[in-house]
Amino acid sequence: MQIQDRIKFAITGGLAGLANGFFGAGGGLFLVPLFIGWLGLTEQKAFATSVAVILPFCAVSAWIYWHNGNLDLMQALPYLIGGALGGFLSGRIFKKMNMVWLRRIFGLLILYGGIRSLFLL
Amino acid sequence: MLLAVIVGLATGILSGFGIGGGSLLMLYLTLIAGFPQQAAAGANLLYFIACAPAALISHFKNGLVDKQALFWCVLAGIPTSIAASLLAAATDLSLLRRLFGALLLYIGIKELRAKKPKATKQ
Repeated sequence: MQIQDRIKFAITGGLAGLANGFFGAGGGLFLVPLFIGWLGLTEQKAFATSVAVILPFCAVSAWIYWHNGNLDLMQALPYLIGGALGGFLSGRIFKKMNMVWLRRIFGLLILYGGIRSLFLL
Repeated sequence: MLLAVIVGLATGILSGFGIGGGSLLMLYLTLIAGFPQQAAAGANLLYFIACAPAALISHFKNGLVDKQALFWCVLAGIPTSIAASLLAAATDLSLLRRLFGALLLYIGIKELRAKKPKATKQ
């Protein structure tokens, strides 16, 4: 890998870490478009690699959130169980998925939630 | 309880794809389940740690993880993750929520305009 590409990947990862640590979510929202548009990864590789990159970010951020008293394992537990099942399923069906409609539905939901969050509704 | 598992399952499928299930879960936790912003962020971080490994086993097996990209991204992203997590703890809750809302608004518009990929296989 060329030095320019290493720097580009480092910038991309650095940005994703910032967003993910600050909001506790959303690192992938930076990674995927930059991987595809700036770094030329295929769409499937971009999505899959973003999951691998975010995992260690979540681990270090969770540790700091825990230190600051913002982690409640029992409260989160049912979501963790569901999330583990969902993660398992997604790995199995990933290669067969058509992402476009999934992303549009996701876009609508995110837009709705974004407006409510922005205006504190 | 059961509803929470189902919500986690649905967003977990998206998270495993790398589509942003975590952001959706955040919205569910703050807007519907009534978690404060930082508690929702904490729960969401734990959730991703539970969700990602199973998906990643398949992604690695299928050769879809770019290992060089992974290495350089993680190297740069760990320090920024730490800095941003510390900053979040010191940030006003409603400001945090508004900024997250603004980010989602931008991403939502972009995702709605998502096109079919030109090439899925190399």
